[in-house]
Amino acid sequence: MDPLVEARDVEMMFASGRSGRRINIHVLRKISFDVDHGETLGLVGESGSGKSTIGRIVVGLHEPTGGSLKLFGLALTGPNRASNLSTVRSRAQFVFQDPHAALNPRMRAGDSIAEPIDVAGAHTRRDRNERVKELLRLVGLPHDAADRFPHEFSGGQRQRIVIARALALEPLFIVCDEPVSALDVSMQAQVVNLLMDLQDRFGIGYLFIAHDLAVVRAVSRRVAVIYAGAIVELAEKNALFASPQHPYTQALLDAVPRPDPGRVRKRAIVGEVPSLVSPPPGCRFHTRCPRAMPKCSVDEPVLRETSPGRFTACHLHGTP
Amino acid sequence: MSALVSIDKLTVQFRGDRGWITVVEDVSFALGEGECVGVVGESGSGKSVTALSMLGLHPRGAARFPSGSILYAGLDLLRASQRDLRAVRGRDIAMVFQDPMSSLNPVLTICDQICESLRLHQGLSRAVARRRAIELLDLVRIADAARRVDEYPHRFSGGMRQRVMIAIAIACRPRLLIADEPTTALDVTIQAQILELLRDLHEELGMAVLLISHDLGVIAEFARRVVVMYAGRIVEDAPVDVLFASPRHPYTEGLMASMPPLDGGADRLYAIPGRIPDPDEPIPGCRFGPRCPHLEPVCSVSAPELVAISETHRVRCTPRTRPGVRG
Repeated sequence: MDPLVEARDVEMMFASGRSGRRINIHVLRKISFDVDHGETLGLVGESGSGKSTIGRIVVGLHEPTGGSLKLFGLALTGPNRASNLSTVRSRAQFVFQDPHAALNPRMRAGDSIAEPIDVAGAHTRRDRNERVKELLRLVGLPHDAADRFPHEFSGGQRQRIVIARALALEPLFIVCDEPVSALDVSMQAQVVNLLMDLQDRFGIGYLFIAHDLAVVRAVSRRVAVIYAGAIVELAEKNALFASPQHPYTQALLDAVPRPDPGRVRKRAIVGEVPSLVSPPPGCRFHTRCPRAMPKCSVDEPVLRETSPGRFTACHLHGTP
Repeated sequence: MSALVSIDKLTVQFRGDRGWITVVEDVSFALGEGECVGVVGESGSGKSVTALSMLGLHPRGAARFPSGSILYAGLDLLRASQRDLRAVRGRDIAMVFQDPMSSLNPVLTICDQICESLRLHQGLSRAVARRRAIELLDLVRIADAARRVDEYPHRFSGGMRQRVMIAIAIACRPRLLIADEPTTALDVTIQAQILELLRDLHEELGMAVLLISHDLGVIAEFARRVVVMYAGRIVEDAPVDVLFASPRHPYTEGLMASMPPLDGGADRLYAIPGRIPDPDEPIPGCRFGPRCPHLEPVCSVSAPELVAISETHRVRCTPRTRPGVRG
């Protein structure tokens, strides 16, 4: 069986600036990964790293400018993009970060949830209302929630409505773009558990995008770490968290505040994510890397398999 | 340690559609000179409202204080005149807000914004204030300060803007710095840098810091003492090591359990059931009762009191503070 998502050397350029002084910004470079059926691939990175762009490309909201991308085995790059996209679109859904902005404030929750069903057609009014009730039950909301408006719900409940809407057409794959970062800790745990229950039940595959490493660890099987538009490390989650290979992954893990007052802290790494308009030569992380070598500012390391199932883009872990 | 600011039985009400709604009730705690206190709680717990009350920053007419006091240097900040408050704000007590993107004025240079409080409170001349602004940018580790001081905020990244906000706040060497979710809008590596900066400044300048955050991790790394708030009330107040080693209130326990562990462990997260009540929702007895896994009949009879179970540890939970079960 084909994997749900197969990305190979995906490239993305955005044009920026006024005409005449137009520049191309290389937002994603050589992005390769798979998402298998019923699997969660976590995607971690800081703002501006390109993680949301990957999510949007994967569901067909942007067309990559290079490389190849397949969703359910059908190519989303090349001449058949449009026809393939219309075939697979309903089975791939998206959950956005901000549940306040993702719902139309003037539509009742039930109508928001049913919108994908209405667009897809082929449901009678009774079927549709039954389906809405079933979806509300699935995400743990009372069925009278259908008649209420978004402002009557808390953030956590709104995110449940957004999830119910994403489930409406029985998707096989959902991109969750920071689905819990706008929520409080206790709501966050509820929504994460809900997403995992739904995966167990329906075998949905997730691309789970987040900046919170602890949340990603809780939901994912494998984790990809992205920095300035390129994947720097991809591994099974326990391996990645127990012994990170890339210095950036290490730095990210060190930077997470822990609920342990006695912990001996490492100094935070200096600097910020470089601008993609004028990225540094060589490894894009070398400007902040505590272990940078002369080679790092010249040669860009490629993502290679350092041990089975484990990929790192760093000269420290390269085979000569 | 003498108290620098003491909040006593603070109650804050906001004007709602159906009369006044109590959003903060019976909040009492004191901040010592040079002390580092963390306030933790989820949205709607009243932590920011408490902080804003200290500086009189609520919109006029929309908030009132039916009881309580906030004493600073003999002055009750809740009832002080605007003139007195203005003398305190920015000079003795300064604040850093959550969102560095919207807290700076986009049409003024960094220099103008740092100099504002210096010129107002210390009466410095333009040239002297500018030199001081450059020193301050240096102090908050902004490289090339002499050049960047004349730039506008849009040229600064989120982390840099938060550094500028901190520079503005510490410009007059305040005795208390209130940092309201100072790192929430920032990336993890930048968050670590800003926390490090705040820690260094706290040590260098010896000011007291009140750090407000929803993130127990941030609190654990920063504060010496922690105040846990839920639905407008303090539910627990303890030294940081005591709180994390042996939390006494079920809400504190729940908060800690629902943080996903970074070092492995359970696959399923613990979630506190239910949601935070609205401030005007009538709940008999303990406000946490409906979500509490250890609910007892007594909990819904009367509202629990904040009881000191040791010299430094206060808990608002009737079953957990009964004589005999303390300790």
